[in-house]
Amino acid sequence: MNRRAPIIAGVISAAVALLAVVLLVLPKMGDVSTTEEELQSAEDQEVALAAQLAALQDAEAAAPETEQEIGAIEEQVPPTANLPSLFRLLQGAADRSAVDFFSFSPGTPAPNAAGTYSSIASQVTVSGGYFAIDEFLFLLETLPRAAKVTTLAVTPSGASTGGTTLSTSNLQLQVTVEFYTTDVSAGPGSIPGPSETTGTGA
Amino acid sequence: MSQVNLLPPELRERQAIRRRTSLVAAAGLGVLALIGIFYFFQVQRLSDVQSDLEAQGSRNAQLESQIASLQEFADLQAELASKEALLGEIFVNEVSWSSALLDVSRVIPDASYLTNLTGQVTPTVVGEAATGPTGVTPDASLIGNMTFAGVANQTETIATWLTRLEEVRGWVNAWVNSAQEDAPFSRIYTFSNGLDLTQDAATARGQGVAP
Repeated sequence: MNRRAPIIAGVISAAVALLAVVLLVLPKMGDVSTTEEELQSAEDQEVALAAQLAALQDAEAAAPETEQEIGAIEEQVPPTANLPSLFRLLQGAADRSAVDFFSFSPGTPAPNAAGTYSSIASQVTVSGGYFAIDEFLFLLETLPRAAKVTTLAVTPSGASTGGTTLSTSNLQLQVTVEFYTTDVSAGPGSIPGPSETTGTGA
Repeated sequence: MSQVNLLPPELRERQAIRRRTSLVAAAGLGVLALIGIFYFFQVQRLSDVQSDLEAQGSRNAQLESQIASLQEFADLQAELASKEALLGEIFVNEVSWSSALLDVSRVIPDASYLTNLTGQVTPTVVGEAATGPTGVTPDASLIGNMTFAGVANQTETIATWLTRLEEVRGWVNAWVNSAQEDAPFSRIYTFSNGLDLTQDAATARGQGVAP
């Protein structure tokens, strides 16, 4: 027998073992590793999905309040210009603050740059005492409908005779106040009704 | 009693080689057996992991299905968030003018009265800046201004008026544009002045703080 037979047997054994490791074991280990990674990823995904589900379940539980909040905001920024309601609100504020509701000139609604709402810059003039005017401004700021006074001017009521010393307790308040609607096509010449894109009416 | 091996040395050597070859082959087979066992465990493990993965996939699919059924509530939340953002945009830099008028009534000195009061909020549209009462382009942190015209007895009254205006939160840069005596030695002055409004003068919602 060849003296190198043990060496040959060893080499053959090592080669077969190496082939077995390379062709069978290593691919299988790779498969196991890949599948474990997929499992880990799926487990992570489950955690994220569970958190998302919990958040949605919370949202479901809070849905009545959410709808109320949306309703309240839609009352502040209605889906149409709704001038009749605006007239009534302003007249109500004037009556409650004991000022004379002198004039109201709503401007043409102008959509904002993003096209999400229109602002109606309006001129309102009332006359009354200083604190009555102050009360009117407060009521304007707390109307159910969103209103933002951007300019105001308080002057003595009635025409001045040219003198500098006017002594009157009756004042005139002129304000530019912005009202808002989610209707981006409001006012004369516009498409009637609320805008479909923004007036969700939920 | 001693043993005597009568085999020829060639045969003895052959036997030794055969033994060594057999040992090496046996060792090789042992290693292969170990590899086989290891492979078997890997197959088992792969099967277990795949089974776990399928179960996990099934659980995830169930969760996704539940999430899909609750999607309308996510839409509702998104709608609320967008409407809140809309309100935030609308009320940015809002000033409570009713509070401002109250503040004026608190700080105006006794020996004076106003004949005119105006106020304005700087437009929030980009590139559209209002001019301040002093005629300069306002600082970015300023959100508006107020101007006053009135009559005061003594210049000290006007000085007090200016000092008190600066004491109101959010009112800065109080400035007199003119103060003119009505008649020589009358000590009655007609004045006009103004001030700037900072973010502090804005309402909570105007500052983006939830009411």
